[in-house]
Amino acid sequence: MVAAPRRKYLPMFVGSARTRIQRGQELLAAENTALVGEMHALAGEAALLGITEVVTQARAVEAAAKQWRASGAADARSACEETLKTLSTTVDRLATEA
Amino acid sequence: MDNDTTRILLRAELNGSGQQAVIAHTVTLSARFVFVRTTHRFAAGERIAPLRLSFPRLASVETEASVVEQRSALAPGEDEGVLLEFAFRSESERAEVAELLSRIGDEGNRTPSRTTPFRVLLVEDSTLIRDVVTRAISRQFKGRKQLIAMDHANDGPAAIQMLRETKYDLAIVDYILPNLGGVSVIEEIRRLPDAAIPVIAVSVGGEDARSATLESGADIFLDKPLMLTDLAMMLDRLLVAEPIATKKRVLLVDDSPFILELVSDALLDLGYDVACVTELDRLDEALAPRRPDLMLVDVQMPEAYGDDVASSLREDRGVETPIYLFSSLPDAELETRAQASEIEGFIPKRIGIEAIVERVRHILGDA
Repeated sequence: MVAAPRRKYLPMFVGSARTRIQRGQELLAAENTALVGEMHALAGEAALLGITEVVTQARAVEAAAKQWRASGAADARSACEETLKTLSTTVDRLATEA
Repeated sequence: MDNDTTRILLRAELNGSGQQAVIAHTVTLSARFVFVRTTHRFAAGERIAPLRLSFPRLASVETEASVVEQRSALAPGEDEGVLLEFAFRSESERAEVAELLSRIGDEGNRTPSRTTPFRVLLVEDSTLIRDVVTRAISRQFKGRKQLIAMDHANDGPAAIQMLRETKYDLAIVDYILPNLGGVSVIEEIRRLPDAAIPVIAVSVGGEDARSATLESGADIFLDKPLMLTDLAMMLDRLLVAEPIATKKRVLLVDDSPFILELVSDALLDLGYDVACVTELDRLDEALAPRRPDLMLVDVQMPEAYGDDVASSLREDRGVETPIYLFSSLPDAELETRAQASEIEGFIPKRIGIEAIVERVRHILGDA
């Protein structure tokens, strides 16, 4: 199993990632900073499979969400939105490999 | 039920929705279905999670199932219980159940390889029952190369004394005994150095006796009047059941089903026994059957922080199992949290599944 975990588990990862991103978008729309937890969990899942691009981007959303939580500023919220979009695009691309 | 059903006796532990754990035993098993003898009531379609099946000296398997139907005993000798259909959570679970089935199901036809006598202790105060059982067992072994040695104890204290002095291959214990009851005898057996000795409990006491003896650690319960064919079947299978090394058990606590599946599959492939918990209120249940050799606990979970959970397990419940935090938090933070909660350490998720598995093997002394 350890020899080719990425190929085997990518479809499941993509499913989980999409659910988390969708939940993240809903939380953002609801002005709820629980988005931080979703992105932290997604980064952990991606790390296990070695999908560094998703790890980095999920971390970026997590950091932006923390900034937004601390400041409540509109530009911090926009940063969350932008980084979340980038992450979503990356996961959509991964879905084509799955 | 399908046609490939085998009549075998296994210990079964099952949890239905909203029910206390039920310990019973099965009488039939196939690749798809299992029939569990119990008077507990279940609803059709009810989820059984977990369902744990075990046979003396062999590893237990844990899976899930759904209730097909409840059956009543319509005539004497018929079994009352619940028919379950397996709901395997993974292919490895399916394979484990199949392996257990093949190990036990076919073994009645195999020839035991042992050269020493098979030692049985019968703990029974009724001389009539003793004679019946002894004759049945002698008949079972008549003409065989395999020698059998039968000892008898009339009451609980005598049984305990004999079990301390002699290594037995099987104990058959009556539920009601003078001076010390069968439940106490079984509990004492489970505290002996060879605590894994197979124990068959027997009684006329019905469900109460069955529950009490199985909960105290008996492997199988046989109703009186004894179905001597069941006893003979158990003997045959115990004789050839080759002990297998107990797998090291890893308990994973994480709210991500994806992470649990990925890590548990990797560890199962390496021969570990793995239990997973996604909700903390099920942690006690996962710890109950057998203490794990290692626990990996996620830090950021919805109900609580993993390091607080670990502290509580260690300090409040006396769990001595090595506990490692398992998280994608930065290493420095994980180290601080692990030290503060006085647990063994941490494994960062960022290192990837291959490295995580290697760490686990190293911690368990298998690397």
